[in-house]
Amino acid sequence: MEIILQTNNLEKKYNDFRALNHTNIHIEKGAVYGLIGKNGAGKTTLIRIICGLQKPTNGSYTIYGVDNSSSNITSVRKRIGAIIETPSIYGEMTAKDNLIEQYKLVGMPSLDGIDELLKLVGLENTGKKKAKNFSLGMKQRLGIAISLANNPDLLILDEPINGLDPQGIIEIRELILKLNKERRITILISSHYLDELSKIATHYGFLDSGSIIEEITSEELMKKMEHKIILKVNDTKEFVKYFEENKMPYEVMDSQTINVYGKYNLSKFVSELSKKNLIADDIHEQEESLENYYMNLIGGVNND
Amino acid sequence: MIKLLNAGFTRLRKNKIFWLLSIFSIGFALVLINGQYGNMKTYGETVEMGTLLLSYPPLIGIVIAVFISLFLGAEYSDGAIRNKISIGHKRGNIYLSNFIISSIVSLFFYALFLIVTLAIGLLLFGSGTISISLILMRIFVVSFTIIAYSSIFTFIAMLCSNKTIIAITTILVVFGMMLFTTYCFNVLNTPEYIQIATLVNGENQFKEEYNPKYPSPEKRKVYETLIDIIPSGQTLQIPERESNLGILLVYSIGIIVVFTGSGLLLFKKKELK
Repeated sequence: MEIILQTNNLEKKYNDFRALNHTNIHIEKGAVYGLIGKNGAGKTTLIRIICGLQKPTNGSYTIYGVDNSSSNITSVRKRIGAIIETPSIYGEMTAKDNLIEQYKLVGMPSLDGIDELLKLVGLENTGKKKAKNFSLGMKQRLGIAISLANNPDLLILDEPINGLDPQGIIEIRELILKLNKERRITILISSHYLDELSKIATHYGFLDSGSIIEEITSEELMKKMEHKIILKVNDTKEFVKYFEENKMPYEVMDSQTINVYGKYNLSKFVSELSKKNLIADDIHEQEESLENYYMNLIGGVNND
Repeated sequence: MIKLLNAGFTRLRKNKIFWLLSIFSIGFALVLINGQYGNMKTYGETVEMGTLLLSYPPLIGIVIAVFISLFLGAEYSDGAIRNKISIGHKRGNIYLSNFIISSIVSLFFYALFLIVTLAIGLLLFGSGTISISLILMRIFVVSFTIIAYSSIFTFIAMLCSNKTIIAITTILVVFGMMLFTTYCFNVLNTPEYIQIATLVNGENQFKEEYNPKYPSPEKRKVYETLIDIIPSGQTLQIPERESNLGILLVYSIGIIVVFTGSGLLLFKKKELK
């Protein structure tokens, strides 16, 4: 897979405070990359640097293979649409006027696509209503429409669902999925709403104290978070044989631990094993949410 | 750069403050003409068109400060600067396009005043006694003063990230310049000799004495140079000045180069949040 955005040991210091600490992310073409981190983890700083608003103290990044020190970096940014913290909207203008302004700014040859964009984000009926009078969700959708004016290949959304009501969250989620699936736009989305991110992301980067502590695909993550029974045994061989015969998905984690994936009735599961004289020293069920997974992850890092 | 200018002028057409200040410029011309016409009718005063055409520049600094602080201030408050950089516009081009738009709009406000004053003033007061070439020269020089004002306020607006701070700073700077100019004129107008009254045998006797507050030639030179450099000082001097207009032009160009050059350098390094 082609990596379109990559950071290499990116560092950002504000006096003694290290906002980014050897941050490395890799975003594949076509991905919805969820950048997860609590407030102050460095998500916005990372996005600001990628978008050229701030310079890294150390390290580098490449966008579509162009290094940030290259003079071509501003040209390659023409392939990016971004909403950083709040959408860039002139409050005194209507939705359509804001899009006209953006079309001129990106040098679109005609204004033909504006109505289509307004329809895409569901703002086609806002008429002469000024953007300052829009709801937060409408502003976010207008911000996304503005960031789509240059037909970007990469869309960067910094906390796009912050402060939105449930309906607004659903609208933004559906819009992001639509853009990714129908327009093939790669999306970098930062958020601390983990459950919401888990509904759209294909890849995750877990950021804590300015460092990426894990990059993982959603498949890998789902597997890690899957409902499972963890067995502690003396000898794994007989258990493996049983799971093979019964076509039960399992994974031998070490010489004494086996994970069995799927939902089972635990007492029935234990009694079936007993019938085959398979006695485990310890058996327990585990099911993780993304939130738990993240907390365990940063807890682990912080405890190290 | 052309895209930035195109977008900037598109936004201008929808900008309320631009239209309000345009109306103010026309209104100021009409009020001025009405007042001068009243004086002419009531007291028989002659109105000099060449001077009338330069009556707006002493005030225009305030108009420019208000426009730039609100128009460019919104670039930060509405996130437009972030947007322009993230879609690949160079910082230098963003700064220059904003300076160009601010300068053109500032000149446009003055042009509106000139057009209205000329159209009505010529009919009411005639062309006056000042030669057309001198009037044109003064208008040319004052146009650079206006651009110098724009360069100072663009500098402030592009380097402060907060709209309120930009508005307060530009207004303080323009009034500060005006007050400083008034102070300089007061110092320069200090009489060399003052009359001292003494009571001799119950009678007041006056005698002229050298004024210790009278500025020395060196000090005078400093104050004269300062009011030549400061745009507010220039706008007050140009209507009366017949020679040495060129030096004012040089000072204005100097201000434009210094503020725009340093503004460009600092904006390129500015960390945007």
